[in-house]
Amino acid sequence: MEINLVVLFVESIPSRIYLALLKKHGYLPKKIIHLDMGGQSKKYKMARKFLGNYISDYVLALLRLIKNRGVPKDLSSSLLSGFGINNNDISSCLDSLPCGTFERIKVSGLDDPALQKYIESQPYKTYLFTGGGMLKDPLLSVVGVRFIHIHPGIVPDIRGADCFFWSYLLRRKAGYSVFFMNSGIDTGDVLFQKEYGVQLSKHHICKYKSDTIYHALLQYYDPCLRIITLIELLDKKLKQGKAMSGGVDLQLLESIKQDPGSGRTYFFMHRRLRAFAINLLKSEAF
Amino acid sequence: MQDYFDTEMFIKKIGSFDCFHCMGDHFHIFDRLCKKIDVVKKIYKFYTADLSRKCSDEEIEESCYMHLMSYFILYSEETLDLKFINTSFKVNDILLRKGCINRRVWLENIEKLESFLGLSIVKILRN
Repeated sequence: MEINLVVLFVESIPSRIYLALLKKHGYLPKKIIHLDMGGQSKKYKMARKFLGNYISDYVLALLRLIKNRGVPKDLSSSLLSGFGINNNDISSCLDSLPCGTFERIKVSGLDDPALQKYIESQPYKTYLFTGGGMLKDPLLSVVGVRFIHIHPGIVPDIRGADCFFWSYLLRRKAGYSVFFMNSGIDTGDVLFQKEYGVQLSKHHICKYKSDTIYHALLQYYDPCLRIITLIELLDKKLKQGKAMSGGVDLQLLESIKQDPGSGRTYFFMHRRLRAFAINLLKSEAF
Repeated sequence: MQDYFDTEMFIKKIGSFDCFHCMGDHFHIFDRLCKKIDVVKKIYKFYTADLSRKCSDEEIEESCYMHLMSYFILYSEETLDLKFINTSFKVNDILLRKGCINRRVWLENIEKLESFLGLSIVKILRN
């Protein structure tokens, strides 16, 4: 089923997981816009000048590989299998898309004026944010356009960063909020929220180092739960007969305004607190 | 009423009263200071009245960082608030980096804070 949603795709495992799970559950975004942010930094341009395009591209690809290292294939496969997908599904999530669904644009970052200009030129009004930085004004203020984010915390109680782990420590669950983004930190109008028990025992995480578990949960487990939350919202609205011709229109769904002054904002965990959270996860998975 | 926030004056004022209750009364200010430590890893001498933006490029004196650490540890112990415990770990690192404490004291603080973590989880489970 086609959904009235454009995915702002950034090359990363979480973005690919979003697409793979949407595909598995039968949802096709109206368009997938690949924000190609590679090769726009000053360092890369300097490298290109002295080393040439081929070597610079190779080094960039290698750096990306190193950045994404550290999650063993058996662990990633195990985590993904809990959601009915595998590493192959992630690799092939952009394959076999209908003609015209995929477009790549080169931008230096999410605050590149070229991105705003592009979005202003498009007929699409609802975008799914999948990462790559922070969306800010003036992009957030483009008339008629709304950006959806799936935040790993039940707002307003848990806003901010590292919220998958804050949720686990504070509420002993993973919790997600789907909302329209605004310029505040996780203060946008809420479409849907859901909490899940964190079930990791069948993934044998105890045999891995804490850093490995941290990266595995952030790159694989958390993104799966995020997009599953959106999928559940879509399924719910379809069942309620809220489907429009052309698919579910998320902008027409009721949303609840947040009080930006309520709740609490959390920030990145100190490595000691993070290690404590991971050890707790391990002990409960044992 | 002044239209800026004087961080050092505030920290010294708190020190002259019952620290714990003052922190409770000024919870929202300490909560905002958490962001400065957690994200910026520095606290400046002056901010706008609502603590949203800095009005100075000068950091607070090392003695003020030390006072802040003691307040955060005390408040963390009393409330077992995970956010404050998190910030306490980071203030501890700042103090070590600035040479205000030695490694032995740094490790003692870590041990103390880690003991609060276990108690905080028990408290959350009970609730």
